[in-house]
Order: sequence, then structure tokens, then C-alpha cells
Amino acid sequence: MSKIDQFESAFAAAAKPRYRHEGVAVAKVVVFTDLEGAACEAWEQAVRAFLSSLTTGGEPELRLVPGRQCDTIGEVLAIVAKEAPDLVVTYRNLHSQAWQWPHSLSDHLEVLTQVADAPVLLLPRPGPDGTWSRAHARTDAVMALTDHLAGDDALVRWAVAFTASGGRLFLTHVEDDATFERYMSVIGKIPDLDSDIARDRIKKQLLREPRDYISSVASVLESEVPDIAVEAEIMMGHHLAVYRDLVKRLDIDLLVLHTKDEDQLAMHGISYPLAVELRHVPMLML
Amino acid sequence: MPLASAAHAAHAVPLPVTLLFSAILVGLILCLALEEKLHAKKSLIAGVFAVISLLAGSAFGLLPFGPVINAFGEEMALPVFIPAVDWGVIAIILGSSIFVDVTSRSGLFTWIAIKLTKASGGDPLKLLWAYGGMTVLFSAVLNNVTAMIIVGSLTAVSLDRLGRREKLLGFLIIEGLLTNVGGLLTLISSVPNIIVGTAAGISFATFFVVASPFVFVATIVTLLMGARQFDVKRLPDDEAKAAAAEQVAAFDERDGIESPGFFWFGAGMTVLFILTIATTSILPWVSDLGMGFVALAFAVVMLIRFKNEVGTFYQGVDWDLLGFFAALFVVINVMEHAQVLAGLGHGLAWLIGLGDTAGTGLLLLCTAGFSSVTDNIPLAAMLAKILTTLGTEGDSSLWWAVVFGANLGGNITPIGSASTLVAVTIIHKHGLPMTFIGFVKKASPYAAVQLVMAAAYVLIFL
Repeated sequence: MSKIDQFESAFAAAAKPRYRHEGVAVAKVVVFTDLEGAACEAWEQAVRAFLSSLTTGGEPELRLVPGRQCDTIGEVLAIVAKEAPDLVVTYRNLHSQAWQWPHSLSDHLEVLTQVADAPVLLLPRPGPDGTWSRAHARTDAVMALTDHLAGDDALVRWAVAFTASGGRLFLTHVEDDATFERYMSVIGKIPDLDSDIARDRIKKQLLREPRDYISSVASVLESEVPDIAVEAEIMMGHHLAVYRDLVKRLDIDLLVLHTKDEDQLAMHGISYPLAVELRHVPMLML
Repeated sequence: MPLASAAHAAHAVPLPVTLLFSAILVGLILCLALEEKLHAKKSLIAGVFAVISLLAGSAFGLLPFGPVINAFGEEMALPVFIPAVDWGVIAIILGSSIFVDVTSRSGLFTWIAIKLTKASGGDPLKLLWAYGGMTVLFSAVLNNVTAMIIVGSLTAVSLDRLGRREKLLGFLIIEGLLTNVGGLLTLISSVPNIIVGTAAGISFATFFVVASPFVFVATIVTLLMGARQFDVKRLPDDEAKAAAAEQVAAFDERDGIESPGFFWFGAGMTVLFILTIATTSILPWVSDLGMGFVALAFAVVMLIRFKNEVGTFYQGVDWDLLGFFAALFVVINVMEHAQVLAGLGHGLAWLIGLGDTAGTGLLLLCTAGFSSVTDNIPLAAMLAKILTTLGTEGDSSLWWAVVFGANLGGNITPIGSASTLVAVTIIHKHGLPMTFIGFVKKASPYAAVQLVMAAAYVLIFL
């Protein structure tokens, strides 16, 4: 009865996830900083400038939490629980001196990104005066990245919300080639399976699903948000290397990605190394 | 028959020998009925009995050994079991099976299936009618097993997507039952049709004209009963309709089309295939070559598209079915020489002798009863042979009694036809409970209504 499987597969492949656009609501934003005084105010202005691209229908209410109010992780979490914001904004190495050694995010952030229900916008660490070394006034190039893009409407909606009018939205999907090769090597050891056909078909299908989904996104946004351009980046490769290269090549202003993993308490596999390595790129962590 | 044995004279066979061969035939029928229990393929079962029959036939001196005379009047040395096979039937099945398999690669059938799904807007009742109609159409044009596979697979995927898995069992049972109704529509829709239609000399067009009114009414009645029994209703409000429509709109009918050119070629060839098969008996040059030639010729033309990978399609051919036919024809041929068929013919003659109404009606019901518990193909082959031997006219309603009984009998039990077996396989594949008795309980009201309608139709109109 292999033909039953054959036709079920054909119909299952024909049932494609379609993007449904909805605007995201950001009424309240909580901004954490370890700065104080004038530096804190400068940081607030920088955040306001960055959020000016956010298209959520009206300027959100900003609640700035200066350094002394959020020294401990417990205090940070308590404020998030009390305020119930739609978005949390902060930067790498909050309340940590580790920024001098760029190999971690800080305890505060690692817990915050996993506990907060709201997305966390992680900005590059400002200088001591509260300004950035690089100006991020607009988000002209936003990149949503995942290893499982098809059907991930929430990721796309947030990326759309942060893309400035006239900007470009890059939807990326990178299939990890090392994992793929490992499965191919196993298939190559099973006499009943044709390894050449398996390689060709599986690779095509893996890349086809995100491509179809991106087409659906592009088609919907063409009518719903016509002032942004949607572009696809779909490929096989090593996640970190590919993303690092794409961010540099496309001059990305904001990365949008998932950090929560249903299967574990720690940060989602690729998001931690990306957040650490691409420390000069703002990231929206869902 | 182009080949005739040079030593084909009828001869007297002692009764004990005829009884011995009758026992072999009963053994074959029982083993086929218990195919699932034996875990053996049909071709092997029939092959074993063909070997036994030939050996016994040879031992008792029943077989007409010697040269055969071909269509050119030339004597040829052929093994005795070669002319025993009806190669015309084998050619039709082989050719149409390859043709359908290659054409399905064009994405045509999935395109039609998804288009209909989208046209239903995801409304359960509309979906039931759409899938029911499609089952009948595909059973008629392709064959009932392929139809069940295509429609059953789509049903599972689409109901899952619509969040209506609870309706899957009902849909699959109704579709399974409709495959055997659709299998009545044309001469090539099912194997019993091919065997009986060929033996009776019924043309494709005549078969369609006679069978289509019944198929139309039986389909509607089955769908009405199914919607009622399985509580398949229209969606209650606009919100539910919009949500369902959005779910089915996500199906992309073009997904399976790798080449638009081949898609249209496949569509054109399918239409041409049906037209050619329908007019084979009147087409110059083609009429003498027969439907087997037409099916094989169309298969060859379609294979040109995949000239480097024809082996894939040869592997996809149901060799078990073809081997089963070949072995079955050999067994039946030996039974003919052992006078077993003549004995059965006496019984059938008695049945027919009960009168036009009682005889024909009983023949239909007996055929249905037998084909519900054993394979309808050997039954159809045997009855066709006996009716031919009895000199039954081609326009006799007895042929139709066999055709309707053999097809609709498959709806009484899950083992009654290959397509209902496929329906049960899909049911089990999706983790739904369905026992033999459970199927009979659910399906028998439909089978009873269909058989009563068929008997009335044959007796009143044919």
C-alpha cells in the first residue's frame, strides 16, 4: 500500500501554511538600563529613536527602569510581572562587566529572555554616556531568521512591525547542512533507500516549504503593507556562519528570532551564540 | 481466440475425477477468501493451485497437449498453459495500469481532487458530495483501487486540516462503497466488467449507456444514506464557513505539477484514451487489435515522457494481480477440461431455468453473495465461461446480473473487493477502529439497498 503513502504525501505537500497578517499591539514598553542620570536619559532618547520605526498604531507608553531599581534578577522579573509590558527593551550585559569580554549576555538577560512573556528587544550596549557607538535611527533592513520558518506567523508579524516604511524585510531559513549530511549518511547505510533520490528529494522539500511560505507572506504583504519589500534568503549551510555573513552583507539593522524552546529551559539553540557574536546588531527575541 | 489447440476435442471425464478437480477449485476459492489469514499473495495462491491443476490434469490425461494453430494457420509448439490465459484481459489491465500510473505523475488527478476540495469551501456536506462524485468518476475512468487510494488519501489530509477527523471513518466507508458503484460505470472500470463484458461481446459504449443510469441513482442514494448515518451536515454559520474556506484555500492544486506541458499532455491523453477505448469496436484498424492494444499503446506513448526511467513504472505494476489472473485463467481452463465448469453450468442452467425474473434475480444475488466472501474476479471469470458455454446471447440480462452482483457484492464485507480493502487499510492507518463485523454492520444497509435497486433495474429495464 505504498501508493496510499505516496498520495497522502502529495496532498500533505499541497496543503501549504499561508500567512495571515495582523498588526502587533505594543501599548506599553519597559526599558531596563544599568545607567543613571544623564546617561540614562540619553539612552531613553536612543530607544525612542529606534522605536520610531515601530508601526503598531500610535506611540507606545515607555517605562524607563534605571539601574538602581533593577540591580537583581529578581527585581527585573518583578517589574516585568507587575507592568506586563508588550515589549521589553534592554541591552547586552545589563548589570555586568562582562561586556569587556564579549563571550556572554549577562545573567539578567539570560533569565529575562526565558521568563518574560513579552518579546525582548536587545540593543547593542551603549557607551557610558548612554549613546550608541553606531547610530540605529531606522530599521531599514530587518531580518527574521529561523530554522523552521514555514507557518511562523508571529515571527513575521513582529518583523513586519519593526520594518521602517520603505525598508526591506528579509525572511531567512537556513537548513543546517551538518545535520542534513548526518541523516544522509545514515540513509546511505540503509539498502532499501535510494540515497541519491533521498538526498535530492529531501533537500528540495526542506527548502521548498519555507519558499512557499515566504511567497505567501510576500503576496499578503503586497496588499496589506505595500511600503515594505519582502525578500527571501533560503539556503543550506552552517547556521551561525550563514547568518553572520548575511547580516554583514545585507547591512541588517534588526534581527528577529525566537529564543524560547519548548523542549528546554535554556535559550533556543542558535539565538544565544548569535546574540553573543553579533553584539553590534539589535535583536528582537521572541 | 487466436490460438487453438489442435487436439481440443471434448472428452468424457469420470465423475470421481471431476469431483477431485471440483475440490481443487473449492480449495482455491477458500484460500483466496482466507488470503489475509494465510499471509499469502493472490498470485502465489492461484499459482500453487495452477501447478496442482496442471499436474493433476496431465496425470489424468485431461490436457490437450500438442501443437496449437495460430491466427496465420501455422502450427506452433506452445506450453499447454499459454493458450489457457486470456491475454486480451491481461493486456487491458497491464496497459491501463501503466497509463494511469504515468498520467498520475503529471499531477492531473491530484489537481482535480484539490480543485474539487476547494470548490466545496470546506463544508463537510459539500465535501462528502464532491468526494463521493469524484470517487465514482475516478473508479469509472481509472480503476476502483486507484480511485480509493487517491480520494481516501485526500480525505484523510483535508479532514485533518479542517479539524474534522471524527468524520473520517464515515467518509472512508462511503467512498469505499462508492468505488464499487463507480466500478460499474464503464467496461474498464473493474476487472469483472472487463472479463464479463469481453466474454459477452458488450462494447464500451453499450456498457456505459446501460450502467450509467443505475450508477447515477445509486450514487445519490448512497450519499444521502451516508450523510444521514454519519451525521454529515452543512456548516452552521458564515464564520464557520469562512474559517473552513480559508483552510481548504491553503491547498495548492499546482503543487504536484512538475511540468505544465506534461500536465496538459496528460489531460489530453486521458480524454483521448477514454474516447478511443469507448470507440474501439468501431475504429478502423484498431477494432481488430482490441482494447488491450489500445491500453498498451497509450501506456507506451505516455512512457516516452519518462524514457530513461521506465523501470520505475514497471516496478509499480501490480504484478501480483497480473500473476493472479494468469494463474487463475490456467486453473479455470483445466477445470473446463475436467468438466467441472460443465457441472457448475448444469447448476446455473437450473437457476436460470427458474424463469427470467427469479433466475436472473437469483443469479445476481448469488453472485453478490459469493463475491462478498471471496474474490469477485475468479467468480466473474468462471461465470463468464459458463454463460459462454451455455450459449448465452450477448444482450441477455444474465450477463448484467453477473456484472452487478460481482461489483456490488464487494460492498457487503471488507474483503469483498480490493477497493473496500484499501478503504479499511486507510481507516486502520489512521488509527480508527474497524473490525470485519463492524464494517459489515455499517456497510450492509447500503449493500442491501444497492442490490435491491440493481435487481429491480436488471429485471425491469434490461
